[in-house]
Amino acid sequence: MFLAKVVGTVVATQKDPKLAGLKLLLVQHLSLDLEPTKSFVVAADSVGSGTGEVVVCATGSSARLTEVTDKLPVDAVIMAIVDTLEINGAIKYSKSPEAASVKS
Amino acid sequence: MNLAKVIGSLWATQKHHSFNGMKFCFIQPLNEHRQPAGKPLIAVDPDNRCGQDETVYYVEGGDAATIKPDHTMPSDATIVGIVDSLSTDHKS
Repeated sequence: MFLAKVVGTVVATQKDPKLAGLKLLLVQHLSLDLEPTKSFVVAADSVGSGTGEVVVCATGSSARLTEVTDKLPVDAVIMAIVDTLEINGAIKYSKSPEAASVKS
Repeated sequence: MNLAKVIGSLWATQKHHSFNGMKFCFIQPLNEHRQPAGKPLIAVDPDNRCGQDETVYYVEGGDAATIKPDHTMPSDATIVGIVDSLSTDHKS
């Protein structure tokens, strides 16, 4: 899975009919230091995430293993919203305000 | 399966229900000489047993979702074991 930040919403009226009702979000890959990288992915949302949140995305066939993406033409799904990220013993991100915040 | 070193941990209360009770680890893939090889990634640690700096091995892709029988998870990287020792007579 990869670390990402939700940076936008994708609305498409003309799409595969099976995708009707599925929430599509634009996510930007983040590095270990929460730095935005240049790669973006359109991911289905399975946990109610919103713009600005740091999330975890699964890709490939595994992305279809949630109730909202079952049997759909989807290869990326947001399956967790990050509360705390610790790398080599240092807190790199915490959803609660008092800890380190994400550099936007 | 691949070798990796656990370089961090990630906690998420809001996650897909199949991950309930599980922790996520940030892992750095390793080559057979236990040197970093490739980009770090997030893997799920189904049995919550991995600690910082441990060497583990993990499964990637669709198989990572079906590690536990009758408990599929939307995971593309799942840690399946901790390495106790690694011996190679590979001369390079």
